[in-house]
Amino acid sequence: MTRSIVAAALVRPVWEASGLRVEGPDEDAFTLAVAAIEELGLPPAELAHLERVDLVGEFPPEVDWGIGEALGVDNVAVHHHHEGVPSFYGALAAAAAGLPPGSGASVVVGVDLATRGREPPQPRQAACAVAVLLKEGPGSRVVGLTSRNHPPERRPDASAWVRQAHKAAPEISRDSRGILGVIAEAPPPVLLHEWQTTFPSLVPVVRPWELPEWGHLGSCRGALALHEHLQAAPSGEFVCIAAIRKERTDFLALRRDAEPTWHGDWSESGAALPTPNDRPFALAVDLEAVSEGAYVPRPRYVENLPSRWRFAAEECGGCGTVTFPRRGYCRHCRRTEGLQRVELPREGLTVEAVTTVAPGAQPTEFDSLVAASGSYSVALVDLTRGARATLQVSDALRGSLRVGDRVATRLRRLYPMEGAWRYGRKAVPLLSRS
Amino acid sequence: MDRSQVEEGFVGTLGFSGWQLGNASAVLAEEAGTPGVPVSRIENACASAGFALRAGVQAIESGARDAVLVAGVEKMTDVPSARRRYWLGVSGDTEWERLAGLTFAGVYGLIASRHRAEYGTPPEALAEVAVKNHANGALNPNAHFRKAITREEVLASPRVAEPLGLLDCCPVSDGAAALLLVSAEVAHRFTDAPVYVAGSGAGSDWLALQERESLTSLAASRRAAEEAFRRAGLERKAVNLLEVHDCFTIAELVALEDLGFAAPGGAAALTLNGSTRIGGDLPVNPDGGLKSKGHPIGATGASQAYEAFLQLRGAAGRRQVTGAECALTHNVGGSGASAVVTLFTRSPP
Repeated sequence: MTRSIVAAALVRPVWEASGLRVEGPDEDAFTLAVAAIEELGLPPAELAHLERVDLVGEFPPEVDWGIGEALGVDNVAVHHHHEGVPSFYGALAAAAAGLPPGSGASVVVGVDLATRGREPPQPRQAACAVAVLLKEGPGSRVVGLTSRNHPPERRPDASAWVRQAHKAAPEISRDSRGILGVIAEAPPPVLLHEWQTTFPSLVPVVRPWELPEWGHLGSCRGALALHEHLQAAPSGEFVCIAAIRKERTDFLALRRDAEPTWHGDWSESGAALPTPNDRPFALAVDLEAVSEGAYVPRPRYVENLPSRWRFAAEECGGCGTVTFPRRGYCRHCRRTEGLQRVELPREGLTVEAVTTVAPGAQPTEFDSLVAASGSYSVALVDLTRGARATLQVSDALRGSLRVGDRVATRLRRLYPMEGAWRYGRKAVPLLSRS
Repeated sequence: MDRSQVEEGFVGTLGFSGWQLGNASAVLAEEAGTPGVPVSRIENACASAGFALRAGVQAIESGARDAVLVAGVEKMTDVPSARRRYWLGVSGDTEWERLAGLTFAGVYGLIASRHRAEYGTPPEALAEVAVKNHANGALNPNAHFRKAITREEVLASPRVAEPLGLLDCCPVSDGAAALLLVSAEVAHRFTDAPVYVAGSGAGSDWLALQERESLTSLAASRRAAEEAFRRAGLERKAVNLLEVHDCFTIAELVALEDLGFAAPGGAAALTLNGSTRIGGDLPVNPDGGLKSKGHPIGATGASQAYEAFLQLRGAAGRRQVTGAECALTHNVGGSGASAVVTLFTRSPP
């Protein structure tokens, strides 16, 4: 029994340059992947049973263990795929078939980045991340996947191609109703004619690769096509996607038994913050940075990830006081036994105090962040149960956060140290995602 | 004075510009002209010298010593300007505060933010602290800054960590101060006008602001004041002048409240109505405070005691507080992880 697509979440960075969404100076593929999965809103019990994550795109090495650590999931299998629509569809098919019956859920995450290293990004390249949840049960089921590669000079035989697609998706018959979503630079008349002849009840809908408000996307372009057509197709009908490039065509067929739940903002609207100078952030960062004074050694950083990434605290079995961060004793009654791990909320938190750090007043670890986006704010945030956390603020207009405002938290890059980025939670205003 | 009379030394210093971090006290004994005398280096960030003084007081009160040298020293400007920020980032909580992007000023910025949210403390009150202390520093030949400033200048100064601007922050300074502490019985051998240590109190608190009970009060200061007044057997109304730890303007307001000289949220009014000026009811930081006199981190606690000494002997010249009989010094480490309060009197307690 294969898994069906039951939900999908789309997250777009809040920063904008030249009309396109770009990832902020503290975001990368890892943080966007975590954000996309969090956007699915899975209840903790279900998240804890996540068995497989397929990642489509380029990710920093810590994602292999970091995904599980950030989500609070033990032992999740991580598979990697190259970026792009073909890989995204391939990952969906692989994830759908990839676990034995009775297993937990699996997630396919595609991340498109607008900035890559130090090169200028391609024209009109945008940033976006999508997470697709696959579970046993009613949903949209992958019924076929195939692809065709050829030199651009040699046009493929249309009828042979349609036969190939039909063979890949034997469930689809001449009478099958549904949508054929075509992504192509221009509508391919011969292919469409062949298609209509073979499957007269699949309605072709042709769309360009680059959508005006979205820019050039990889996996997320594939996800947007699924979103459009799975919404439009009636229950029990098929949705086929033919993604046509000069040298390659990918064909994915799904049967839409039930519509997936869509999380996040799939429309073109949504407030964005302009990047300073209206250029995407291109960080020239020395990863080999060494601290000039205070320094957290890597073992200590890793040891404290649960308190940094999941606000893990300890609740005293005697007096009920919550101690955060965990110290191995109750801050109230000093008891060292009977302490229970709890996790404090990561959303809907209240700001108790806030300051904005001017450029030049930051610890040297944050020099590159300040160079990319100027000053930042830091807030003392109420984690409830008498606990507080000191969090850097992101995705907010400079100085706009006030005492009493409510924030969510997101995993973000903190600073480079000794060859790798370090990550932690930052506060983001609740409004920024509406 | 014959330096061979010194039996032991306690020296407060933080960083030594980064060199000689271990066994610094041996170096200091050489430089002070007391080689061979046992010296301990005391480090509690900005409260180092205040705690060095406390250690000296306890050595004498215990009967172990009759004559002790207490000193504080910091050389902060030897580091190139690119590394100046070093000093601002080493005494706070590293794991949460520094890694959220805060140095010192940012932590006090958070305190100021909360103080305003809870009590409506206006920016003018913070500015007035800087104005007053600069006016006092102008009268102090040893001050780092000896120039008066205006409220408008403070409010318009470039922001460092909102709501704190450049003129809300103490400078990076070089300095040193030294005290000879002796048992009362032998004081007459050294001077006709000794100043007496009536009581010492100290306290500590969680390093990170996020773990403290209050965001607008330093429990370490409250604990230190409570112990000092109890040991001295004195009431607050006996105090004629205060030397408090104004590393940032907000810190002076919070100090007045923590030490019990103003109600919570009440220090702003006290400052704005002129009570804390030299001619007022309760002069605070007549030597210019950390803000204007300067804040060589390891030396400040000793320099506060030096001012108390001058004032109680009537030797403070143009900044003399008339009729000064009792002085309080208040020295805080970092953003309040440690604090020490010392009470001094002109007459024997």
